[in-house]
Amino acid sequence: MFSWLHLYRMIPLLIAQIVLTLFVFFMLLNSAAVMVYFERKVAAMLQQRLGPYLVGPRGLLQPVADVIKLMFKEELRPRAADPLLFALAPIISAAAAFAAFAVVPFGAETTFFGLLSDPLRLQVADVNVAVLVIFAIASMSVYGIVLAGWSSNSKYSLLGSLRASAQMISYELSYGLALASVLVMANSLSLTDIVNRQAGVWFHVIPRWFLFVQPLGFLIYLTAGIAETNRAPFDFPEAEQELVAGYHTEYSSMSFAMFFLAEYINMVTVSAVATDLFLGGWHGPFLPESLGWIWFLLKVTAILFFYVWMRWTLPRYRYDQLMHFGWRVLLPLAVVNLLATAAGVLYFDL
Amino acid sequence: MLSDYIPIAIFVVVATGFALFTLIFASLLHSEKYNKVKFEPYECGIEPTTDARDRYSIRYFLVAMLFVIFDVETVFMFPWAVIFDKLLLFGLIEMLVFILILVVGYYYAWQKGALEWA
Repeated sequence: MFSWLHLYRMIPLLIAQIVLTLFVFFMLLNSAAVMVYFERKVAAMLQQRLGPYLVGPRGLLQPVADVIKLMFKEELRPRAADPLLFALAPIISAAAAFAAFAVVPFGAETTFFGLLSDPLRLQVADVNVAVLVIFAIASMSVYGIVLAGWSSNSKYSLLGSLRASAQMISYELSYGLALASVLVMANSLSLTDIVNRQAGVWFHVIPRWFLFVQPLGFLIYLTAGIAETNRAPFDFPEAEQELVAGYHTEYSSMSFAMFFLAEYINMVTVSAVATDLFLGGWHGPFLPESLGWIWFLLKVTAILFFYVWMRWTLPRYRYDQLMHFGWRVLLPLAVVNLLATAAGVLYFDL
Repeated sequence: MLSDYIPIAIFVVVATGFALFTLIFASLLHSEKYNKVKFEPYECGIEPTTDARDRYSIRYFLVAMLFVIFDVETVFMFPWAVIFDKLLLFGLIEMLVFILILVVGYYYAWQKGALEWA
């Protein structure tokens, strides 16, 4: 029943929800900045050099300097380009990247130490089909790339975006099948339910993470995730030696920054989803449930480090190798993994 | 409930607004010293002679078509996976039959060279 008193009681929760939404947004924005710094520092470590160290203490303000520099750069658009689509592409890329994170839970319900009367879920939108939403929005990001490449009317851009779209849709299949094999075990599309299924431990030591039940599924997810976010060793859309900068060759100033931002936020989202699906989300020892987000952050950081580590260790594949691997190895493997998981659930009651 | 999705919509609006704001803000800041050459698409300094939107390899279309088929298959597996705890052995056999039919198509595509990329 609706009443004003009821609405009045809702106000603290509503404010908390709005604050949380804005907080998540700015944290995502920050995570992109942190990732830029992190990636450059880790790359420097792996190559035995210093990396950025001049701007701010230990070069910490380098991402800020980069953004300010990009802001003052000239905005260019080729004369033959399609003006509307050219302007739209970076906005679509950035919006799609942000949107996917909206359904990712990153902590257990909390009242902020009794500040709120009703507990608040640490997630922007609590949707019962979260996995499906993520799968849907992840495929949206290909639009930004295709539009960018086509509207630029530059040969490098077009080739880059063609490659990118073919690669992303090829690996999306394995990505989806890896998600499905988790669903078989969790019997729910809600990420919160999936995380809660992984609470507790086996034999007092091994956490009940889905990673230990199906390591193959995790590997497939991670590989497909790296290909989906166009990161090395699958960074063909922007293979510098072949395609200059791929689909964003013609972009400059902040429009370029939007693609950059989208790439890093996509990485963060893929890592966060991997944490929720396979690494038990915010569940971990030593910390109370209300501080579970610390575990979540640690796990996401570990996967992101793995991402960066990959990029600076492995050489790029050849494009035909990528397509062969995606269609002939990863896809059958993902199907077999799904069926094996189903059989395992049936006979061993995993 | 549909209202569960409102925060996602708000999030998208905030993200789009942020992107628009940054782009417009930057367009007020940056310098504009344009000349004819700057408006040419980048081609290593050589003037482009043809339109970029030329014919390209048929394989991209093949991949797109295969994707449509297999993506529908994947989406079909999601509801199956969610209620697998109720379907049990029946569900597993059902899915085996479904995948077997797909494997026939997959084998055909493989033999026809649709998965070939060289």
